[in-house]
Amino acid sequence: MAYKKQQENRGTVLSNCFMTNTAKEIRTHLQVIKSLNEILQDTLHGIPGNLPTKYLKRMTIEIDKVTKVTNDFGDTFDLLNEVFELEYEVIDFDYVIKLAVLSVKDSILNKIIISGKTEKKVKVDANKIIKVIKCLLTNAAQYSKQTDYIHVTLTTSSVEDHVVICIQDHGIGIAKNKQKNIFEKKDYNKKVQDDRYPGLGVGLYLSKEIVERHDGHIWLDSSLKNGSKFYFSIPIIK
Amino acid sequence: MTNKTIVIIEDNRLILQMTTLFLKGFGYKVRKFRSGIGIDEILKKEKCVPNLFIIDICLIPPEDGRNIYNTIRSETSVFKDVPILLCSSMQKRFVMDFKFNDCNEPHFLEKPFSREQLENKIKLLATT
Repeated sequence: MAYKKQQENRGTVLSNCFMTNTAKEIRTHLQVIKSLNEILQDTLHGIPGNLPTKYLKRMTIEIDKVTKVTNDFGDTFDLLNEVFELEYEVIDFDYVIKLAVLSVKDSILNKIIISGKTEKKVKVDANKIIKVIKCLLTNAAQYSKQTDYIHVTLTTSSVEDHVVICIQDHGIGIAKNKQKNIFEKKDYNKKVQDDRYPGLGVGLYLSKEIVERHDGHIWLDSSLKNGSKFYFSIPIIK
Repeated sequence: MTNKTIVIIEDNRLILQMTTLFLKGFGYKVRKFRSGIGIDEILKKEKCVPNLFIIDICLIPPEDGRNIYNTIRSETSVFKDVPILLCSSMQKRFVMDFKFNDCNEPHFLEKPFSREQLENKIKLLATT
């Protein structure tokens, strides 16, 4: 029995090591591709009717997507191994939102409009909360037209003393029957992913885990063709 | 063009080449190394006092950028007050849990970084 446990631990350590090294290798190569892309864009700068530049800019978005997938990969793995440690700090919630929106500025073409403010402090792992917001914003952008606005609304819920953020898109929406399991892990035996929207399909699952570890809630309001509103709430620190 | 010099230690030839290109583009003089071994002596010989070190953490084993960091920060080092930027393809939480010879948290940049992210970090650090 003890031997079996030891073997399992060894397996976990080995696969952790393998995952970490694989992710590191991918990021190293991405660094090369990203830099080459920027240098090529410089070289082509100023040429009229420049289609290659347009393609290279598109390539930047794809590089950022691969980076996101690589990070998701590591985080999911950590989460499954319960090494997903949170580093809490007391911080201004509105400021965290601003940071998150700024961080997606380069990878999302849609205009993001922030309205409302909470002026409240929360005790969170800011990097993880930023990750949740980035996930919701990236999803909103992926399922919308590039010209559509994404609305971010900040409020406080007086009943439970929570700050609430709503991320609204005007995209394709989600059918009611698909909403029930949207925060669950995807079953990869079934072909559930749409090829147009790459990713590991774990963003929402991770987001739910992160929000719930902060004693918060995450939910959505959507219907097919009418866009989606994703909400999450975090307790206020008094 | 400033008179400021950045020393970069990076084992990946392509990353070294392109990061150097970016740094020169920002107007800095660059002294590049693929390993940290003996750079202390080389820099002293060249009478080069850098304004910033950029050090990759995962160099060719057994070299580790974090050990180079600690050597630079040691009491006897002539470069002990020079700012250092560590970078790595490993995520921060995997590499920064280390006994650094510094009372402040070391500056860190995760790969893949964009030119803009690099420039922002450098503007912040290469001030003296």
